Amino acid sequence: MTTTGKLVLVVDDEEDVRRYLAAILEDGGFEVQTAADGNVALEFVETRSPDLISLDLVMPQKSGQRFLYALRRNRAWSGIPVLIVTGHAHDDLGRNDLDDILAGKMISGPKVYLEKPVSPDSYVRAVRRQLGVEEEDTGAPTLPSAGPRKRGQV
Amino acid sequence: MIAPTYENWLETELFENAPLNISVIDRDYNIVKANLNFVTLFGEARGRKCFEVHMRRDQVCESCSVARTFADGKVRVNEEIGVDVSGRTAHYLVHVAPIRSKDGRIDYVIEMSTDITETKRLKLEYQTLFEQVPCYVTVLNRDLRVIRANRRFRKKFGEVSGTHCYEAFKHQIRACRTCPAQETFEDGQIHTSEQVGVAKDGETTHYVVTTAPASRGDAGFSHVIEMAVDVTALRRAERERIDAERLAAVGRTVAGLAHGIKNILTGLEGGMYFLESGLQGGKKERLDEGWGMLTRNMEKISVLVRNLLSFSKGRVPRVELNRPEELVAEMIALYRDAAEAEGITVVAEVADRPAPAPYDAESIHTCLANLVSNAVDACRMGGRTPCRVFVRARDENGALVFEVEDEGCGMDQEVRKLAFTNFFSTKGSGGTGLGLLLTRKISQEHGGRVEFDSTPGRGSVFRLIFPRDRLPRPDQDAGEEGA
Repeated sequence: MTTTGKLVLVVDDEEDVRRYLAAILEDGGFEVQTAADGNVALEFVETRSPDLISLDLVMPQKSGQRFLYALRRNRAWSGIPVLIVTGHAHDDLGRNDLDDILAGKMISGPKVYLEKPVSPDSYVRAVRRQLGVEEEDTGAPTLPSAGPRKRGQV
Repeated sequence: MIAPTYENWLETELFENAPLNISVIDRDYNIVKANLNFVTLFGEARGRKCFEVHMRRDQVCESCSVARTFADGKVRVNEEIGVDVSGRTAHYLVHVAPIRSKDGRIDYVIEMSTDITETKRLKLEYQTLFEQVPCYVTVLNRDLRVIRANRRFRKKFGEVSGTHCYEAFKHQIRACRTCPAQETFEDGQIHTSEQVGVAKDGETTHYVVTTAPASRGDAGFSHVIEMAVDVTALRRAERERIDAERLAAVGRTVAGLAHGIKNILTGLEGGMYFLESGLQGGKKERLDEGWGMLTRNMEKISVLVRNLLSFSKGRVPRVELNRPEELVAEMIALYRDAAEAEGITVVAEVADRPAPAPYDAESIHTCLANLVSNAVDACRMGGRTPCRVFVRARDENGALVFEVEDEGCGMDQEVRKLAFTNFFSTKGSGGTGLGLLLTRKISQEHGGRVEFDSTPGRGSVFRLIFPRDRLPRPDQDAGEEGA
């Protein structure tokens, strides 16, 4: 397996989810760092700029949406692509935030999100596509799951 | 001779100055004499016809009591309308009596009248008030029989005059156990209570009745007046609102369930990913990690199912009168020792013992245990020692209030916003995020609500507020309370 040379920051408050997503990406040839909430994620971004951020929306301390605001306000970070991975796409917890983000109310907001549970295959494919990295058989096991979703798709 | 002179003077004085309008009329309806009051009111009258002076008519009135008294010699008392010298029409109470000569002939009648316009007006006002007031008004005697009922009452409950109030209001054959009318008869005080009755069309009617002693002029009182305000629509709206709140809570729970499971599913998928990639690559650490993930998330789903069962179980709440301070004591007994071991003190504060209240003790126990458990956790996370948790019960503004305050870590705005959302937990794998949701659901089922304040680093205070007039009725209450 070849390394992509890309750094992905995985932000999620659930430890098991962080480790799972990190493992998929590492197996896909990415360098991975993790953060348990938006504050920790911002601290990391200040020290090192990732090539992509995989972001959960509903988290204690600093939510994904607030993190995204903070990120976009800073010119140096505003171009970092963000992939939203949420379990709350259709409920009161995350729907409004997600709608705002997808409607472009946030400067250069992401247009694609993944809904939990995510399969290794669809997750790594979505990350690759966002980063423009060529598809490659990672040899990682595949599990049945929903694929990446665009706005309007359920 | 002094006496006849004095008597003449007295008669003249009485005639002239009596507080009545007095006139003497002959058989041809001529006024032959009138006193000062009469002249002041109707103008100079002597020699003029009575119908002309009183009524400004040019012929005899249709039903003339003067003519009838001349005919049969009887005294008459009538209410009549007259027009005075200023043109004002007024109501008069008129006495007509014959003046007989020594041989018994009636040559004259004397007519005495009093202005009763004000009395008539007051009577009409009272009548209008009694009939039109927007509540049910009845007057009861000591046998609790309805001797008068206003129009609104008759329309709602039927023509009930003479029947017992409990029959009229509730179709019962016996007096109610607690009867505000009876209480008023006993102590002469005003009593108010809320009752449920049955209208003549069978509709259940909720009303708030106030009873007051009614004096009819003699010393003390012989009757009670009941005024009942219909609150059926209000109670119905309240019930509908509580039902809607309950449905909304259930809806949020069902929607949230899917997402709680999604998180666990992601964890399970993660476990399987680690296992499979560990097996494929022969990496033991991946197998260990995958196994750990699977175990943790299996445990999570077990806890979730247990909590969901308690959340959704269809147990009929057992509503009884309970003592709130006993619940506080139970919390102390439940948490004190375990908390003390970690330097956390759980303190009961019940200053004025609140009145007993109807609720399902087991459900409210669950709510309070959730709050105390959260408070102990908040102390643990806050890291301050010693750290205190206060459990309080009190009456406040007509509501029973349970309060749990801690000196723990507190919540920032984000966590506060999510406190009542489904499956949100700050306790990692230890919490399912259902505790506060369950607490709110139970509170709403009791007509109450949950409120909280919190400051990061200083602590939180959660309150369960149960307005007493919205608490459920105790199960044993068969709705036979007094009317």
